[in-house]
Amino acid sequence: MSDTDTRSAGKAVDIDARKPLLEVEDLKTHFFSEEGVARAVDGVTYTLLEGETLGVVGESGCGKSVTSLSIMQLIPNPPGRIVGGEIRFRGKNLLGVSEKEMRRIRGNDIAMIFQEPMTALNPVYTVGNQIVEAVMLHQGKDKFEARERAIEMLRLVGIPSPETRVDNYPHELSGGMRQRVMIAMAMCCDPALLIADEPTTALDVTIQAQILELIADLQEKQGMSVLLITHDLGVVAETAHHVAVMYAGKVVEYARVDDLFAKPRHPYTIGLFRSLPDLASHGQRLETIPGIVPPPTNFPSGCRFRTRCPIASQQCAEIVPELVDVKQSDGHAHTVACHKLEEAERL
Amino acid sequence: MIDTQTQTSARTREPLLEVRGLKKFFPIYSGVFRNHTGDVRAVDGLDFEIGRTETVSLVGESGCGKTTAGRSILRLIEPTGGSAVWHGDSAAPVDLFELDSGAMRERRRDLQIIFQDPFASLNPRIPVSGAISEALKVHGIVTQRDALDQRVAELMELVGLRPEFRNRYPHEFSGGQRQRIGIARALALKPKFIVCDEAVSALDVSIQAQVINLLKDLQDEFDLSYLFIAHDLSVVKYISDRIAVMYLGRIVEMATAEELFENPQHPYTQALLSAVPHPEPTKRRERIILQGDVPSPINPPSGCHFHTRCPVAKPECKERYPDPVTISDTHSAACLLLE
Repeated sequence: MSDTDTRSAGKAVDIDARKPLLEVEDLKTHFFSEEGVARAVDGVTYTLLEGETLGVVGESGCGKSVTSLSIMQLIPNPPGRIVGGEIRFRGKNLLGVSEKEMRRIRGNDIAMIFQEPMTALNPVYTVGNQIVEAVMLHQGKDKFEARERAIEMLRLVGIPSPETRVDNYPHELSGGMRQRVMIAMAMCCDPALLIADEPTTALDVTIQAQILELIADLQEKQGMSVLLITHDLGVVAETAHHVAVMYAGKVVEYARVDDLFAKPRHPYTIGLFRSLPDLASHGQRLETIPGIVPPPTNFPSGCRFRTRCPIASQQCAEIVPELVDVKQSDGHAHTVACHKLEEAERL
Repeated sequence: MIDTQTQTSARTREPLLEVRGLKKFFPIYSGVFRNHTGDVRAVDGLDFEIGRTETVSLVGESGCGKTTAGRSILRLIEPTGGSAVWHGDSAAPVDLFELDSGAMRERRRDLQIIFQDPFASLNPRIPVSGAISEALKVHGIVTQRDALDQRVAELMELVGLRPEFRNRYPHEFSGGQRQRIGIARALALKPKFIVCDEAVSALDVSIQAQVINLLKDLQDEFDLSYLFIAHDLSVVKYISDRIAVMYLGRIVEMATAEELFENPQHPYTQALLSAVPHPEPTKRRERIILQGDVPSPINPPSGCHFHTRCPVAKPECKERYPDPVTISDTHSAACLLLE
């Protein structure tokens, strides 16, 4: 079976006509420690439309995971705190709601899956019990109904013989199966938004293909939106409709996936693409981005990429670039935060 | 597994290391009396060779035995069977597996390894200079303090680290820098052959590109041969001369990087390649999705190990393990459908 059909069907949706489901605006999440303030997320803005997949890419430490934990309000406090911005879900600012209200939203409306299913699952409960717990809590079903729902969900995510698997403990399952269980758990309350934080990073490519197909399939069946956080540009290219590229706690570029891959505009995005061995031919030297990502306690002034940027100037050190819409020829948004767009064209 | 004759005839390079029938079984003891009840057949008969200045890659999914193979060759774990003939000296070739431990330690000057996890492979209490110079001291190559310092500085510069940082501890470095320390340590003894065990897998894309370039530069400068163990096929395609695809302890297909990606013959290789997501959203490709997981190497399926997940398996695939079929001078695959 090829998943080409499902993927292209999933991607063919008319994304322009969609309404926004989640709007993150100028979100700031800082961590306060003895070494100073780590500004892990420092002014992130993006929009996720109904029924679409938004890919958030960036390297370790760019704040992509902290952004998603902020949406769920799962930031450990102390040391972390959301210090500014808005997270609007269906138009409602989540930062203003009570913890009780938030607990209802988590799981019911917004669900999340993590990179390492073994650490996210409780090893002393059967997978069935863990799903049952969520169903009973959020949907007020009794134990028997909840168990039926758990089996139904395991079947939906493609676990063979779910009637017996439901009584397995996490260690009895393979990595791919555990990730399927995580997805079943996340999907059991029909969330409108699934946040998938590096859902396939710990998996082998053949298993990764299965899981990505499953997510695309479920998205189509249930019409949910997916916020896909990953460092793998290949995964984004094949599953997302829109992409937000993050660097050092900020979004530096946001566009439709085809537009971004056809013509990246920000020097960081351009450098990132050129570092991929995939697109270089054999024997040719890989282009690299010099240096390393600055630590979040000590970001450079102005544009945070300027210390590694080949075209940085004095202006970049002084003024923080804002996201500016450079618009595609068909009028679709393509926002970039860079002072030197013209020079970047010639990179 | 692989037809030796065709491989050597096509080889213009002189062989540096010839691996034949490499096996590594991990015994399983169970019951009250800890009886030997079975084996994990992690590596089950590998044949390949590595030429001088060549990069050969072992690829496959977790549990296919690629790491075990690399470590067995260096005898970091003792192989169960087979041979690894080393042609690195002017003297007669030696089988590494027959050396006693003293002679093997001597030989390790030429055979080094770089590990995946630069966090775990460096002792957090030893400064960088100590990690790099330890092998020089153990082998008695450089003993004088000044000379040692100078050699450490040279090695650090070689891998792109500032020699002033020699007294820093591993936690003061980033992941990419730590991997550079691992490379400097491996280069200290001027080896001819380095096993790179997932050497770039833990790094971010932009840092990964820096380390890959470094490995290539060093290869050109010191005529190194690499056995590159990885699961990331785009990296492997870029860096390798030849690639061996492993499944459950055996090589199922071996070819030059170009042939393997242009013309994969084994159904497993085809599925593996098609599963890799490409950063090109406009190219829609047919994807082969394999069902299920990799079976356990304790009790591998009968016949062709891949038949339980193979989309084109036939009844006879259950019965016997296929012989390797020669597709070209540098390309062979073990599949009954090709016979």
